[in-house]
Amino acid sequence: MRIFLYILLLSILLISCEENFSPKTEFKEKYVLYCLVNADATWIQIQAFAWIANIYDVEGIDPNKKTIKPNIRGAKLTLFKKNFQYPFYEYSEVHTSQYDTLKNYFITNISNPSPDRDISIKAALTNGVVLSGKTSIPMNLNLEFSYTFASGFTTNINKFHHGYSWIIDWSGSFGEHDEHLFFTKIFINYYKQVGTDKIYGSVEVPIKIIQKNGQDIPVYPTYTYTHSISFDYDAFDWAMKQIAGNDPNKADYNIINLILSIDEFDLNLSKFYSSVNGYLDQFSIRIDERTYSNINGGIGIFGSYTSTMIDFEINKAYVESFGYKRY
Amino acid sequence: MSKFIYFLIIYTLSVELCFSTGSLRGFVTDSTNGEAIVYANVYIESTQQGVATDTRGYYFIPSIPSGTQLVIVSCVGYKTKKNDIAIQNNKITELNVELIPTTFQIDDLYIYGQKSAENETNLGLEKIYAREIEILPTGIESDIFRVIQTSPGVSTTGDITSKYYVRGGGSDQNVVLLNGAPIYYPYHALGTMSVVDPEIINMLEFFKGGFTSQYGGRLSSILNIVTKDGNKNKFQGGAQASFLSGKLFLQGPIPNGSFFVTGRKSYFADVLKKYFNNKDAPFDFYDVTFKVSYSNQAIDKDSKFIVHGFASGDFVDYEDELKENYSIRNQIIGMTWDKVWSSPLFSHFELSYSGFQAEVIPNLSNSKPRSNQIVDITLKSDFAYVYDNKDEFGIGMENKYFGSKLNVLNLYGQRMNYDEWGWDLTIYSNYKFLRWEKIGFDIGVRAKLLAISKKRPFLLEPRFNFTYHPTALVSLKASVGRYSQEVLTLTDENELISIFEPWIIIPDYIEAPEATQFSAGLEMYITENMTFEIEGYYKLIDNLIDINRKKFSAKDNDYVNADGHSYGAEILLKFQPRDFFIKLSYALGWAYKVNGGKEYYPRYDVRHSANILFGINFGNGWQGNLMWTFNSGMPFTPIAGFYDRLDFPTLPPSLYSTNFIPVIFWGDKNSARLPVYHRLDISASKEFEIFITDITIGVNIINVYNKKNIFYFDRDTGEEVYMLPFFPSAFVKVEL
Repeated sequence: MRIFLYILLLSILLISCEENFSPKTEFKEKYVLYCLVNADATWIQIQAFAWIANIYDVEGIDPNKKTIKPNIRGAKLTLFKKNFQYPFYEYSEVHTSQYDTLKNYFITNISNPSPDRDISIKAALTNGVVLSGKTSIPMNLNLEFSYTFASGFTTNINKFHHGYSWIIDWSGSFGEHDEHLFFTKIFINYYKQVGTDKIYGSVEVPIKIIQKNGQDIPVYPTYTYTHSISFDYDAFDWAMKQIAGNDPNKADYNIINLILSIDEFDLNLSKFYSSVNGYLDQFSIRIDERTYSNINGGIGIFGSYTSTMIDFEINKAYVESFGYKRY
Repeated sequence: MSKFIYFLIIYTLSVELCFSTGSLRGFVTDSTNGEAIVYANVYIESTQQGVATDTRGYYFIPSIPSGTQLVIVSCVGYKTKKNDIAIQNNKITELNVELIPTTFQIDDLYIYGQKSAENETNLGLEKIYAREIEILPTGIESDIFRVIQTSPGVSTTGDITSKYYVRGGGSDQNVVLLNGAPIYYPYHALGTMSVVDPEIINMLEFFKGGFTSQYGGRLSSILNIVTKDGNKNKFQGGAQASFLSGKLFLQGPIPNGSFFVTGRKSYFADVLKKYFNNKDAPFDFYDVTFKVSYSNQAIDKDSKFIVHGFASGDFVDYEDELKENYSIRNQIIGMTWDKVWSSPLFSHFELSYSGFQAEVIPNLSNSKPRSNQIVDITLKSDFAYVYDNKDEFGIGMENKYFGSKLNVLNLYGQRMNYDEWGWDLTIYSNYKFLRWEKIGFDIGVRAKLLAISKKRPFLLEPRFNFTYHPTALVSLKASVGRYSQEVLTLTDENELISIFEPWIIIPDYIEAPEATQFSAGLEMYITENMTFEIEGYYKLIDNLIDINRKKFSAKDNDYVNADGHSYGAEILLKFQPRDFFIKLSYALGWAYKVNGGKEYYPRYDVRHSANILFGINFGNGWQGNLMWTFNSGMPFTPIAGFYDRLDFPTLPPSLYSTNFIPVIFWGDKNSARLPVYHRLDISASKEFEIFITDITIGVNIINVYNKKNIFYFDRDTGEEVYMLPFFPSAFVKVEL
């Protein structure tokens, strides 16, 4: 019986030896196309940027060790809107990105696509590979507010009647089931007079302030699929206080305005953003989740977005209640 | 067909009329506490007839020649008892036997009466005694699922989770029944251990396939947990403490019955830090189980009434609004009524409620809000009639109300709402041909008259089991059966650890899954103390449900149908010389899934797996155990390259400052294999007495030689993440 036990232990020890193992498989050539269309609020002309790269391999599993630039040059890119074609032009310049990878890009300008918002892209590479995709550009948003401020923004309102939050609702080009992503931000712009110089700054307004261990913790808006957002009035007061902080010379601060911006991603960009930033919870462990792609013949994204921005004046008495001046 | 039925009736009657015989029936219980002894052997010496008691300790032997007969009753861990009993012609004689326990000997562990029930048609059934759970080296707590995982053909995807996969089926194709009622989330602490306290267990029946027509609703396996009734003779209480939790238990007699209650509560969740990526989570869990048995012969002769209950809860409750909270709860309340009628008829009625609630409360974090509620109310009745020629006829009915509410926001921000309910009405019947000495058949069918899911039509699920004994020491078995399932979890294979696994009724837009399983095997005694089993299977699964990975819009369906099949072979060798025991198991298996026309290996496809369980009794209360587990590498998705992915460092994205980050480009799904997995666990314990107190202290070491088993590759960095490292723990148990 002892012999059996010895064999057992020996087997365990032999098998216990660590083996070489690589998590990689055979590398195959594949191409990546990104094209973003920024349909800004002017709607006169919109600009499309595109990047093309290839998938690459490195020694080991750290992609930062790559020695080759993945950019693809010489491709013919065309943007299509109904019967019109818009060729892209290739540019090369030093890109200041953290990873210094895609230094050359393609740009084209197209006329306001409304009311025909559907556009498509085709990229013909020099080796015959064709990449293509389609998108539909979102239109600007129509906004509604729970309270309109006749003499500039203030939190000194009858909150019992009008509520303790400023609620902003919007509607737009999205269909009932087209769940676009929205990014909402409110900033208070100001400058500080230092001698003859003006030092400009801005403070982002959180949606609410929560108490944790006796301290105020601001909660800022994240992306949302809903067509509404709510900012507590207390959060505006908190943001106003942050402008000067502990600086006793509050009169040096001039409050310029309050800016509300809502960015809307189209369906493709919304899916892409969600698949990249998707977060279930802090415990679930997910593996090999793939990123959303709408590029035929390769991977990547062809998407568009619009920005809706509104400038609000801030009530003079409200500004002065903090010891500031109104610009 | 009608000729065949006439033949059966005439043959049955002729056999009954030809001999002067009587029957013997009764219950076998433990003399110290009155607990039913499961699978005890009751043996008539002169005729060499024998049966094993069922999970209630009940037995019935028909066709015993009238006159005085020597009845031998034996069971592992008990002194064998012999009785001379007068069997009367055409009458049922009752014999209730109390067996006296002997000092526990490890070498008794696997000796039980398979030989006395030679033509039993139970292929795929593994009987696991409470003692087998106790001797296994534990992780942080002793756990029934660890025992299940030592069974050949059962695989797992890691040390961290107790989830198990049977013969290539998904984890939600298994059901855990507690006294007949299903537990929908049988795990504590995100799946690290079972919610069922081993202290309450009398017996486990584990069907890996070939389960008879009494069981349904799942494609792969049934784990039936039979809990203790409680000590009928005296009050007993005790406490146990481990690194993770403490528990109390109490049992004792009540007028005409007994009770058992146990409760467990976590108090030191720090030990779980080794298990999770989040090291600071305030894990908290509890479970409570009770059972009350009542049997008053004056009110209802030969019957037993049981009320049982169970509740468990798992929580992560941050006192921080910026972090998400979790809660998972199970509840069971049920009652059973068993009665032995004056004719050789046994009836069993069961009414149970099983509830499950799970919720992810995001508060102000970025987690997605998710919630799921389940209500399962089951009414079940079984009748079993034993003929004089030993054949058995069984018929039963199961009526189930199942309601499910699900509200989730998925990874892509899409909201899903399901609020479904349905009635299930199934009748089932089986006939066991046990009249022949060397051949046994069990032919049965389940007929689904009403279905929970709207798309399920009337369905017949035939079951067939066959046994042949060429010699007394060898049995050949085969089975074929069709199985269906209408409720399932929304398990995403890409989630190795999941906080939220909701149950739903199969949505109307997809087909309900069905499986057909064929299996055949051989069991034999090589020597008096060595048994050998080999079994092969082929399982074909239609209409599996898989996550729709192309759902990026609310208009898309959440789930799609997939297909699958699996096949393999399993070997089990048990060897128990005088002072130690060894259990060796090996399984060879293949599992496939087909989704969207692409065939791939699911993560739980393990080609080779082996377990060695070794126990030794040193005497004077000292006991040592060792378990070594080996699995060939699990499938994983390899790295096929890298690319620079568009990133938005600022929002709104600025075209001029748009950034790119290098990320992994994954290859074909599960197209590569991880390195082999193996792990050695050891434990030692010492039992001693101080005054009237029994004390057991023990130590366990997980992963003795600290093998770095790869759990997964981080999807962001590609780096290896390992399973449990070398990990010692200890426990103390005090019993009054």
